[in-house]
Amino acid sequence: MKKVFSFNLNGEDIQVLSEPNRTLLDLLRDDLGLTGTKKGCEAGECGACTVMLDGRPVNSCITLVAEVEGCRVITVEGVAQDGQLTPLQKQFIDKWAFQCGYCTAGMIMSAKALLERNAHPTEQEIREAIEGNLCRCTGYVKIVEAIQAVSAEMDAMGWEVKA
Amino acid sequence: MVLPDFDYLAPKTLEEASNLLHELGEHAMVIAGGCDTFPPMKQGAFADCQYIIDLKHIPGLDKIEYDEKEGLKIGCLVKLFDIQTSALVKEKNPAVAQAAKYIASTQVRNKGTLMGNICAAVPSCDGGPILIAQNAKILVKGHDENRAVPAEDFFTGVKKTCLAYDEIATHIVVPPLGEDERAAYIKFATRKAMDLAIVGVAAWLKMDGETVADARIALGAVATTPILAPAAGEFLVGKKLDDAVLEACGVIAMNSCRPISDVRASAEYRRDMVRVFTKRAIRKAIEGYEGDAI
Amino acid sequence: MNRFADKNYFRKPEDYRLVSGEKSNYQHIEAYDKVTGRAMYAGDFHAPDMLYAKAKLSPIAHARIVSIDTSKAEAYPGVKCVLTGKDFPDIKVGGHGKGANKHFSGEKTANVGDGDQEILCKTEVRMCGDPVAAVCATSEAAAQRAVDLIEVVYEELPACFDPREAAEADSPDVQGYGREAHNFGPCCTQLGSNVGKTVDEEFERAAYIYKGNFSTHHIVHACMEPHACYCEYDQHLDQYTVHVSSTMTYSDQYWLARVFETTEDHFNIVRTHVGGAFGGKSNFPFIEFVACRMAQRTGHPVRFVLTREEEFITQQGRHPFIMHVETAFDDEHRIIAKRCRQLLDGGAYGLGQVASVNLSVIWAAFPYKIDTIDLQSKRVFTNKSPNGAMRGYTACQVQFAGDLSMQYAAEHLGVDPVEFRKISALETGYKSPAGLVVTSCAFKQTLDDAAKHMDWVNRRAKLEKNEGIGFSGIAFVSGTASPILNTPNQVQTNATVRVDWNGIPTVYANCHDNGQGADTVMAMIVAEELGLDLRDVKHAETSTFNCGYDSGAYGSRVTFLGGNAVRRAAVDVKRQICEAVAAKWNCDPHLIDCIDHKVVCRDMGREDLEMPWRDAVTCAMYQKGGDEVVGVGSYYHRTNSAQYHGKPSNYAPSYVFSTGACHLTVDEETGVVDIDEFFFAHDCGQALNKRAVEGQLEGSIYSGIGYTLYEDLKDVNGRQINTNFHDYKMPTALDMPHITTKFDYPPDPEGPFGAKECGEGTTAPIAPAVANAIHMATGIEIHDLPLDPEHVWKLLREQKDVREEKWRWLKEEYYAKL
Repeated sequence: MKKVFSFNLNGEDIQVLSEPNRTLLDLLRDDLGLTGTKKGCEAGECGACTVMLDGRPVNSCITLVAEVEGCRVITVEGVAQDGQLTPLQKQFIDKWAFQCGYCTAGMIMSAKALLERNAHPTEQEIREAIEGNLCRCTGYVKIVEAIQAVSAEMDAMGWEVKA
Repeated sequence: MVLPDFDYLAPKTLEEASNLLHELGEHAMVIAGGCDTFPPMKQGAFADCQYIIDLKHIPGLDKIEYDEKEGLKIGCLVKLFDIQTSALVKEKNPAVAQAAKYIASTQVRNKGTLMGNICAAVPSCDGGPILIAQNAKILVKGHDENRAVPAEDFFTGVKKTCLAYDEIATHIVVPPLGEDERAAYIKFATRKAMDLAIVGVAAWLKMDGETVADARIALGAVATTPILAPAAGEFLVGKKLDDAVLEACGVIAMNSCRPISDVRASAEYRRDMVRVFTKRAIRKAIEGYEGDAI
Repeated sequence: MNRFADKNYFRKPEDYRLVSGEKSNYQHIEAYDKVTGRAMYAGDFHAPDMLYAKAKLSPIAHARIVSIDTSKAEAYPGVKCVLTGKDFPDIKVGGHGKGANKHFSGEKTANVGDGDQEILCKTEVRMCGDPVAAVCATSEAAAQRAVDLIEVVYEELPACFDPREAAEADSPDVQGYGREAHNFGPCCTQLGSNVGKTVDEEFERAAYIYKGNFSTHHIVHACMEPHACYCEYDQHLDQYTVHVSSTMTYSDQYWLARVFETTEDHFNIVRTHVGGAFGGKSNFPFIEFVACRMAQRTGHPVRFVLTREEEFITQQGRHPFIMHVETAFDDEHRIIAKRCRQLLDGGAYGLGQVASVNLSVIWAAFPYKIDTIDLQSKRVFTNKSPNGAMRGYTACQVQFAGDLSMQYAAEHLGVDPVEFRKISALETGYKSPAGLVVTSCAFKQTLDDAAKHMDWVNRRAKLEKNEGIGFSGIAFVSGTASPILNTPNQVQTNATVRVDWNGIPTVYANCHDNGQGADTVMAMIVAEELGLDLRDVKHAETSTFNCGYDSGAYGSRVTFLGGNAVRRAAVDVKRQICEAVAAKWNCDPHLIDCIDHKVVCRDMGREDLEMPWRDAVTCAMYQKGGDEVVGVGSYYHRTNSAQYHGKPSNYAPSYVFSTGACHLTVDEETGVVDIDEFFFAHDCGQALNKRAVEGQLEGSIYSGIGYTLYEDLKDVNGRQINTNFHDYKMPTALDMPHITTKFDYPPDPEGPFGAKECGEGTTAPIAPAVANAIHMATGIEIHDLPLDPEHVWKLLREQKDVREEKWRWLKEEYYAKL
């Protein structure tokens, strides 16, 4: 039986009517039309569906809609603010930190969660932050570079990192 | 992939959760992070699950506490990532932080819990060996009475624990490491992240100067459950840890397990890796985690 | 006028402005969509009245279908349509060389292999994962539950899983051919000599012959995006609009028309974003036919997305190989002849089988000058999921054997392994006995650059125990011969560049962008020729209805063949503009150039004449009575079908060369290999987009390391047992080494702006470089893949008695005395 669930999605408080056994991923993609979050394995093993849940990166494919009641959820569609790409997105573009783009949303969410927690991660910390995001195209080289560049860029400008 | 048609219940107190479980019986499942529940469910496991009882809304279970006498007390809602990054855990018992970090991926550790890891009770679970080696206890809330189960007795079979259908595991208590006590856990897997152990070895040592006063070696992924290798620990007692002793201890540990061959490794390879990683885990315990970026 | 006869309009290499230097770090055209989540992949399409499709797959490797009972599924709430084999005609899909126009079939590519895959199996299943029925319903859950209610009765048939066993005459018959040696698919033999000798004669005079057996294992593409299809059907027009994760949409259109027993004009295949392909999305998966049939029957849009497990089970992978190699050297350490026998495990279906055997004999001689050859490949059917094209089609297997042979031979002959490879290295101008013509080759430079980067000469005798450096050299094709369908003049790409009255050029090219940056490079080529910036050029969203033919993203052909077609279309535009402006200025049109958003005059003394680009377009449109300026271009690489039977023929328009080098350590107790550095030098001619080239090379190294150390799709009696991402192990960000790439080598005379292949064959050098380094580190001799920890541990134990001695000999004798 469907129930009403309330949570904050990309800055907006919303209410959804959903079966309790529905995953957040299916809700986002099929009910809310937010298809930027991808489905790659449905088992929490590829990271393509990563979203931020109360600031933490989690796999939306193994998260029930019911579990996010009262939480803040950010998807890739909610990263850019007022139509402006964030430095993280810009660096992904500049560094060619994607190819097919299927893992990109998840990568950006994992990187954003990292940078919000740790504005100056080491390369090892960056790699650990994206260890759960498989990328079949890039060898991760340019993804790591892009995340490093955000940190350096913001630092050089004396700004707080707002990934 | 489709989840069974279950209803979702979010009790606000432990009492309420316990009553629900008692009332709903075998068809209810408890989750904390759900990371070891939903993936197998999508593959057809727990098909008769009618209720998911989510503990997340119960206050107080998401704390890490430390008591000089009792040791480290980790609530069942504490996320693995918070154990891994906890200054308290890293200071008091870094091997537990390391074991938490070994599990799955950053995303899973930001949702999943150490309690969930051991309750799922897969043979390769990384939480098992380090808790068994350190003689940790699992605090269990029952409908009528509560109990504390030694980690060694917690696991009863592949994906099976000693918990009755209406019992809830609420806390993990790891005894304090004394001045002369050391612990370490090493997971051996093909990948550096997002992998399941080929073998996992935990070592706990109580030293008397350079001599071992007491020791416990626990193994993962080499039996139906994480196990204690008592002979390996006993062998060390009264000895100085030179290469020959470590090697002999490794062989004893190797001979105390009966691993299976599966998609991840052959039994033969697993046995030899128990030998190798028993040595390495003991060395790591002595060496300590200072300077490691866990 | 034949516009290609007038080469004057093509920009000269020395005048390239955009493609060299820092400016060539272009942004990906799709960048904004991909970092904001807007990019739509086939499985992202959605409509409120959409139905979800699911299939019933065979759990048995080989069986007769006794009965299928779908009644319970049909009765399940929410189910709208249930299909079985009887809902499709007796047409099997697959194979190349189809679609000849009968009236102009004078010069056909071979009709190489008929289709052999049923959409839904009617009477027999040949592998676990063969689809037997499908359901669509109003929710994914309903579709899945209904599928579970379908009852299929099978009668199990004898099956064969081992390719050697399949090659026996009395083995179970996979495809039902019935003839003797019934499991053999195509065989390709290349026999020939540039010096009029047989291999036996050359072996007779050889100073040394290395003989070895090698084998490789089974892996899959594991694209992050599983196969997906979304289909809408317009009953009024009897027209299907299909979004499918495919890199070969014209072939999809061809096969859909055949299976629906109608003509191509009913199928508009829209080119959507593809979430990785690596060769695995050019195989006409059953989901697109099923989705279209369901859309037709129900009138609803239908979406069919495979789950990860279904993707593993039903889709293709990389051929396992069993190889015997014999290479003969003369007393100057030069290769004089080679013989090889290669057996390919094809799985249950053919897919691109003709290319697999043909290419695998081409690779057997690469990247060396071998004047006398006897190279043979045979492909057999087994009751397992089929194998087809995968990043470095058969090159990853064959050149593993070839390069390890070179390493072991170099040691036997006491020659430095890098210098040894240079002795026989291919060079520009060489024509092989197989008919391959090398138009540009910097293989020796790549070897030198790798040796220099690794500080090889200084380090080779100084490495510690369990520490090794390995090199490998390979070659690959840049583009292919076959346009897959039998197009007029074997044309591979038809491109159009349209300039509207605002001066905005739009490229129409159906070359698939799987993320490699195809759309970006096409727009860049146009911008370069027309003197504009990349952002001035638009790339049309194309489909099979609004854009000319492109055979697909396979065979490393897109930049070379598609790029040349686009370049010709751009130059056709340029010619029309120059002619119009020349008439106004009264000068020779060849003395007019397009540069920096202007049309300028190069006529002596009249250099001050210039016109803004947009005015020049207006000028041209006036002269053409208001017509738009539209340029067309096409490209083909003509060979003939004889190549598929081993006759001399130049398979590709150009060839590329790479050296891989790595430094690693081996944990003797566990067998764990830890690569800390990988260097890659690749001769791709002139790199058009440096970031994209780097990305391709880094991705190749990733892919190759996965193949070598991590990935291994295992099966028990044809049933795969690690169909998930925890047991099918692709490297994570923590498992990758430090990577350095180098790729500035001379341009190719025929490639667009001198560019050649990048990113496919570049996967091939990884396994041999790693194997050679492990060999140096430990003394073990390697012949088989994969090199996962347990496999290496096993080798360390098996060779315990000899490897210590071998390692000491390598260090103290061989490397110390070079």
